[in-house]
Amino acid sequence: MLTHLRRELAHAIWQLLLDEDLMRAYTEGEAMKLFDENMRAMFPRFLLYSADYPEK
Amino acid sequence: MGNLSRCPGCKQGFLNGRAYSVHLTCCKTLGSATDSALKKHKILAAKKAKAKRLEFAARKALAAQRLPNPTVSGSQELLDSDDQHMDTDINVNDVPPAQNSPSPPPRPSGRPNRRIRLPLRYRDELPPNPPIVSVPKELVEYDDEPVQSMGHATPESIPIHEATQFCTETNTFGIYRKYAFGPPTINPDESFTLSSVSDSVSIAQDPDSSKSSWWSSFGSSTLEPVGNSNNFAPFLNHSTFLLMSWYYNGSSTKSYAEVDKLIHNVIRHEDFKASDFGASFSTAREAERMDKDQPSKSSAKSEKSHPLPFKPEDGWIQASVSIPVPCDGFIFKSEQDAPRFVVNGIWYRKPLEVIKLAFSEPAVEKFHITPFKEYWKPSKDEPEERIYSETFTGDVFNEEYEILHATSREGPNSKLEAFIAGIMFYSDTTHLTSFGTACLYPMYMYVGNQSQYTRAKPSEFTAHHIAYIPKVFIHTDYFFIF
Repeated sequence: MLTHLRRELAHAIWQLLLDEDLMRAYTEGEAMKLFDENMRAMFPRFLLYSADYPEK
Repeated sequence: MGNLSRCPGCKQGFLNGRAYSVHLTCCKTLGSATDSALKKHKILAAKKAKAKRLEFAARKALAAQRLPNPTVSGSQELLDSDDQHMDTDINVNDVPPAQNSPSPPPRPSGRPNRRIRLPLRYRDELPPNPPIVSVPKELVEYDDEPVQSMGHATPESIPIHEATQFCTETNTFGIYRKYAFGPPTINPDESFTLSSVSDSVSIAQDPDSSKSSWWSSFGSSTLEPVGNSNNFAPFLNHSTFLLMSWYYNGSSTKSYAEVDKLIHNVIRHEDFKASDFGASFSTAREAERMDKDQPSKSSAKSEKSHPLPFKPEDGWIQASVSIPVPCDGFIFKSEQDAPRFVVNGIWYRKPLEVIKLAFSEPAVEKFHITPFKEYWKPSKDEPEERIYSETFTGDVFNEEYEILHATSREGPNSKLEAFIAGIMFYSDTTHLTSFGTACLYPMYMYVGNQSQYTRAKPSEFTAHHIAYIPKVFIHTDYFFIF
């Protein structure tokens, strides 16, 4: 049960983190200015996710 | 960035470290100056050697005239050859190691001396400059357009180059890069200097302006000084603070050194005023004031639920999530029907906001927003070899970039140049104490566009804190989360 709850909690927090804003940026890009003052569309991509098992 | 590097040869100034190092290798004035200095040195050394040889011959002749004493002349020779060794040593040190050292002066016997070189294991090859990205002229003009229109209020989009592979020049190690979709619009290696890859004590270090501070991983508003108008709270004035800090710091017993400190750090301090202490000044009351202040602050932290450094202006949000809880002895039709437990007090930041923050830091000048592949060609006949080193030279980053270019984009940002922010999440339980079970479950975010050599340095503080996961503990009958 402890394992189950911990996993549920970790997933619930990921639900919170992967909100609509991030998802929109993922598909449409987020316009932002870099230091050279040019507008660019930024696409976040998850390169890796490294973590220990949340249920442990 | 503000430092102007000046060429010692032709006195030309350079703002850009990369341009400066390139100039150093090809400056003619500097080269001829070095050559003439070397020649002068050579002539001097030869003169010195000649004088020594003459002196030695004269002494030998003198000795031969008197009693031939082989031991003396032998030891003299030894001494002389030691001198020669020292001379050549100095020569080796004086001449830059990259150049071939001038032929050392011959031995007194007339035979050539040994050339002294460092053994291979002690020779330290410095990292080379990254390959030069020379953008073709027609593209340069293209690139300048948005810069000229910077004055306009509306930000101009960058024209997207046609999809042609762009290959850079090779650097001194024979390494070159291939960009899949034309030259990059930002080349972070322009700010490359030797000190950004090497921290040898013999190399002059640039002041690193893009270094971020430890608190930047929590957000930017913590950059502001914490104190408001009264920097020495809870004390009433600066003089009291100085005196009390002298009392509490350093040694508890009085010594000459302590009294010296009292005089120099407190009484002679420019902010110290005797008038700050009223007739009713009491050390006990000041100490009490400080004691009272500590618990009130910590209780305010827990009550106000804004513990430092979680500030709402940095995007820290306190949220609650609910998780379905299994119930012993009850069966529910679906997970939705199960009772839910609400977990309060989860601190997190919106990842998108954090990414935007990460790309607005000064360190972004060194971010690679265009991925590329690095190759090395040992010689003309041999096939090129791929070099894997950074995230932005890897396959995943390149493939993702190609997919992004291949797909037609929609939405308001479809006209803008697209780039990928490679984000990497990392999380691990962190024990806070050596004994006991206090631990945190933080979630960090790293930006893959940054060089791994910077990213992996704890002193660069490149991790961005995203969230803190509470820990679930279980008792025999109930569970709790904190």
